Formats: sequence, structure tokens, C-alpha cells
Amino acid sequence: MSGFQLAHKVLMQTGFVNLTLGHVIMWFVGFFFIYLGIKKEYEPLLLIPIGFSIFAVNLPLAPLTGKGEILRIFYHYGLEWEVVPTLIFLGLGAMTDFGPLIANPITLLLGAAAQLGVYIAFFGALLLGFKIPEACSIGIIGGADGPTTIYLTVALAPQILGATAVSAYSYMSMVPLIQPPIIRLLTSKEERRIKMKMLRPVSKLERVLFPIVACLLGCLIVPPSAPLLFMFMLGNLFRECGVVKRLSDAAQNELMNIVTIFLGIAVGATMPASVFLRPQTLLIFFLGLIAFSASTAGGILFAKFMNLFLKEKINPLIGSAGVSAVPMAARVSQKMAMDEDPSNILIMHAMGPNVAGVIGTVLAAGMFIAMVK
Amino acid sequence: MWDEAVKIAIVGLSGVFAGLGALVVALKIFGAVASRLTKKEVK
Repeated sequence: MSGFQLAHKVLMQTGFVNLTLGHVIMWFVGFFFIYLGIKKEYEPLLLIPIGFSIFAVNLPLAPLTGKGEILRIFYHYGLEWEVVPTLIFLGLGAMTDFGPLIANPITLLLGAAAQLGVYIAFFGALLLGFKIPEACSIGIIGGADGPTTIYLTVALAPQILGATAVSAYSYMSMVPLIQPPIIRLLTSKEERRIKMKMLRPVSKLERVLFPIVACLLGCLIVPPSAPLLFMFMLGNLFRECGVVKRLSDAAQNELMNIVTIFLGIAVGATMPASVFLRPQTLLIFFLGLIAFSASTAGGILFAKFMNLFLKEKINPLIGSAGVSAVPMAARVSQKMAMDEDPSNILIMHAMGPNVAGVIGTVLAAGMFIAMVK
Repeated sequence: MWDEAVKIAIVGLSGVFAGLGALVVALKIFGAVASRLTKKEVK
């Protein structure tokens, strides 16, 4: 082989020669996520690893996503084996205070009503030509819960994982932009000014019993939700029992940070140009927005409906917190209440439906799996 | 397909309300028991 032939052979094996326009577009997508994470601080813990991973999987000929290669391994063991979403739920459970929910259990229903967007987007996806398993995965974006979206999509429609996961996390980070106009549209000033009475104190016994009872009831009613619900409630039991502080701390910090890295890398790895650059990706983003908006509206309208029957009225602003997005959605409720009346402290009331939304989304995902898988 | 989709949506949403509704009942019972226990402690 002459020197020229050798040089030509080496040249043909470089990424430059195999580069396509799709790769370059995906680099920009990856850079955009990194930009959003660093500059705008939109979900930086996820968007930065996802963005960089997108960049990496779109490097032509790089041995990253083939069988036995590193990003494929992250995806296979992390997501296909359902390890990462469930471990994230362990951490979330350890970080969650169910006190407001235990003190005012009726707000659990707002977490159920805020799943309305899941089903509206489900029908929207069917109308746009998606199949039922894909429509379920797209619909669950409306639950505003990233790990649940990933869990369900891996189970039902892994081919759209990248688009659904990024859509869910993008909209979660944009809750402060998406929700306020919908809230203003559906509530009057008087309603936003409603003051709710202080929540009763919750005993330690109730806090310890809650994760056990919630796990039992949830898993008995919707068994497919057990992997997520069990881990969520186990994390919460670590937190509330008071005798395993080390485990609780590890679940909230070290473990959560480690699995977040794995999650970001694995999700980004599902986004090579050939998979992501399709018209259906744009449709998924569009439907995700519909799902989010409808879920917000569902929570608010149900709160107003409940007010027809309740002696002590609830502020409909807490209904919008029924979409999970913890704690951002609750903060939006708080901010909007304070905009109307600076003395109206609503945050603890909003945290009830907010964490109920997490359980509601897990149950909705479990129902989809039970009926479709 | 639409028949199946409607069933999935109705059963799905009902399941979510049933799960969370059952929790509401459980928590109401919790609350009642807890308040009784607290009253006893005060006495």
C-alpha cells in the first residue's frame, strides 16, 4: 500500500468525511441545551449532561452507542433495566415532605385532576397519527414528571424516549413561564386572594405511617406503578423514621447526584440525528406543551369545582401545583398569590397537591402499563 | 382504535382518582386517630 493510499484510508475513517448536516444540527441542539443549562439555569443538572451527550452521540464513527460501547451501556443498564428512574424516585422520596398533604388530604384530588392533560395529549397524539403506546408516552409528559415519563416511555415506546424526556424536562423548567397566563385566564382576582387557614401540625406517627400506607394502597390498586411508588415511599420512610439519617442523606445527595449524571448521559444517548431529526419530534414537543397546559387547567378547574362543595374554600391557585414539577409549580402558586395579596402565604398549601401530582402521575403511568403493555 | 383509546382514558383516569381517593380516606382516618391520641395526651 502506497503512502497516498494509506493516507486516503485514514482520511476516510475520520469523522470529517462522514459528517452529515444532521450531525451538525444535533451539535447545535446539544449546544443549545448546554447554553440553557449554564446561561439560563434551566434544569442545569440535566440539560448539561444531556446536551453534551447529544453532542457526543452525533460524532460520526465514534464508538459510543454500538453494542457494548459506553453510552449504550449507560442506556441499557440505566434506562432499559429501569434502574435510574427508580433510584431517582428513592432520592425524591427522601427529599419530599408529605406533611402538607397529610394535614389537608383533600388536596390529593387536585393531584389527580391535574392528570387531565395526560389524557388530552394522549388523544391529541392519536389524532396526529401516533400509535397507542406512543400516545401514552407523549401524554404522560403532562404529568410534569421526568423520571416517570422516562420509565413509561422505556416500557411502551423506547423509540421516542429522547423526544419525550427532553420535552418533559424542558417544560418542567419552563413552568414559571407556561403556568401564569393559564392561571390568570381561569381565575378571578377574588379567587386568587382567597386565604386558606393554617395547616394543622402533623405527628411523627402519621409521617412514618404515610409512606407505608401510600405504598400499600397505590401498589394494590395499580400494581404496575409499584417500582416507582415503592422506591418513592422507601425514600420517604428513610427521611421520616429518623433513625437512618445516613441513608436518607445518601439518597438525597450522593445517590441522587450520581444517578442524575447517568440519567442525563443515557437520555442524551438516545438522540442521534437519525432518530431525533424527524417531524414527529416537533409534534411531541407541541403535544407536550398541550399536555402541560391542560394539566394546569385541570388542577385549577377542579379546585374551583371543589369550592362549590367545601365550607372552607381553597385557593384555586394551588390546583395548578397539581402538575408535579416539584417545587416549581408550588412556587408559581405562591408568587401569584403574593402578587394579589403580599400577606397571602400559600406555599405550604400548594405543596400538598404538588407532591400529590407526583403520586398521581405514577398511578397514571401504572394504569397505562397495565392496559397497554 | 378509538374505542380502545376512550376505554384506556376513562379507566386510566378512574384508576388515578381511585388510588388518590383511597389515600384521602386513609389520611382522613389517620387524622381522626391522631387528633384523638393528641387529645388523650392533653388530658
